[in-house]
Amino acid sequence: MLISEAKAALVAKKVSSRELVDHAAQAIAAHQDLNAFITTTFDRAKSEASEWDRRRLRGEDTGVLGGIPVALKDLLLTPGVRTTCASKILENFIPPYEASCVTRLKANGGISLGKLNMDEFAMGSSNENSAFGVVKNPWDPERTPGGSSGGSAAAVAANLVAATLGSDTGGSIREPAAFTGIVGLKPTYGRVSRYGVIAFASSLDQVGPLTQSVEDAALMLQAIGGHDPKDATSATQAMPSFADLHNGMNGATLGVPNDKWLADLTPDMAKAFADTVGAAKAAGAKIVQVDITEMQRATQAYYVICTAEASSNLARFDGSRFGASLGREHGLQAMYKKTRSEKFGREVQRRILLGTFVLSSGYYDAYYNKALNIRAALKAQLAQAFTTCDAILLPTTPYTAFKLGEKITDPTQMYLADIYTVMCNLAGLPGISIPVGLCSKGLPIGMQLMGRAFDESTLLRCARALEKQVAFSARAKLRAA
Amino acid sequence: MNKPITAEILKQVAELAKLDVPAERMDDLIREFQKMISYVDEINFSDVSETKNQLEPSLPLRADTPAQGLDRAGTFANAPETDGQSFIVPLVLGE
Repeated sequence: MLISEAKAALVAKKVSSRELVDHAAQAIAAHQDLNAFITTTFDRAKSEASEWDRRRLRGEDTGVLGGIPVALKDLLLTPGVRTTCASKILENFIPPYEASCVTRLKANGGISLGKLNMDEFAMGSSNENSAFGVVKNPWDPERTPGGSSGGSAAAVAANLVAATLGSDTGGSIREPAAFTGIVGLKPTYGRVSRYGVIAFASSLDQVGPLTQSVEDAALMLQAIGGHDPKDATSATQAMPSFADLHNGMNGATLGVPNDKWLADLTPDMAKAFADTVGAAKAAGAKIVQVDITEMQRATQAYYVICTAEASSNLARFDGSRFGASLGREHGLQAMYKKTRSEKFGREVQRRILLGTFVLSSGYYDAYYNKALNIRAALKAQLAQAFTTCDAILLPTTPYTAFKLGEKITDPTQMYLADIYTVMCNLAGLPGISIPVGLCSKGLPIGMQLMGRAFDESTLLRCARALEKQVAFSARAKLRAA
Repeated sequence: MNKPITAEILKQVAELAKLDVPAERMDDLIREFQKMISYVDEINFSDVSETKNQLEPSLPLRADTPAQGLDRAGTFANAPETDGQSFIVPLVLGE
């Protein structure tokens, strides 16, 4: 059920929040095979739902969302409910404070059914790096739902909850949204508070919604966004108005990249992209070509920067103040090394090593400094492109959902999944993936719109117009539990 | 750069990162690490121009007034070992 539909049903008293939550809990329990959840919080959710029903009866404000079932990626701090980041090092960590975006979501009527599976510390594109097992794609359980917000995507695609929160550092909302046939929005950097969000790469991370429609994504952003004094990188720009969400393209100009940047697409994806450009034109958009030459090295620059930042952010996990602690009997250094080596997964350790290397003496200028300069050049090129268009249309991924195990043995093969998504994060821009069709294997295809900083209004208006034009309505057929 | 990754380099980096590299994992990790470095080395850096710090806007300041932080109970709630006022860690001296 869409958030917009659920809200209307709640207002009309056709259903109660408690009934919605009970139904969601049953659906989650019936589809544990997807492994979308690490921790469920059904009792809390039922209690909160009853409270929202009482508020509604009293005529009180029920917020942007009205009392609907949602779920949270397991890197958002939730006091009293363990937050693991899908890592053994935080397997039993109970946060003492709440993430600001969770506080706002709850205040606006979002009722969390639990914490969602993900790639460990958000490092991955397939949810195969979790210490709590892989997540399965509801469209084909032998395939990945994408990552790192794999659980967030699977839970929405399987209609277990109305919407979820994920996080996106290099594509981790948009890629799983594309792989599972749903909508995924990465807001402008700074739009949603990072207070209480376990950090992967602090200059790239952003929390955002995964939903079944563009309108629902707008509602979720309204529920969680806005300035937060607790986050020093939180933007002070006013929240966007979505009053014109359904006004169509309304003369918008969409930029599309030069063909040479689309050479990595599979034939299905290439056709889908051409069809999407046609749909955008049919919806009233003007199409112009944009040439973003820095696309060719954006992914490598991203992996230098994100691993460098991760090596710093993950230094706090050392066994001394929280999380797992091993080897204490052998001294301080032994505690650090044994804790981290035995409790971090392999991909996390690889990225910490790469990040440490590129920041180390003798390599800092050659790698990290150069990557920052590429980032600056990309940002300037995108700023120039946005003088000629209102949004940029490009694929979300080069291919559709791959099989579990297909790319896990070669990390650099996995990194190629991000080639179209990292630009948004490097430049701090908003991006949204919407489903546009199915490939020849019957798997969903997602296309992406990238917008100007803090102009989610235009971005989502264009996305809504495209969504209406393509009229994608297919849903995953879940196997009976 | 195209620098070959040796066991010595990997051990130095692992020491900085406070990670152990067991002997049985060394060859695999060198191979994986080399692949990652080679992937990054695909970048043509020769035409990348130096730019000024791009961080914007400037970080905000707040009034110099006391604010409510995390209390002791919350701070130590997940401590592996604590006396209620400090985190207890293994001996540092002599390492």
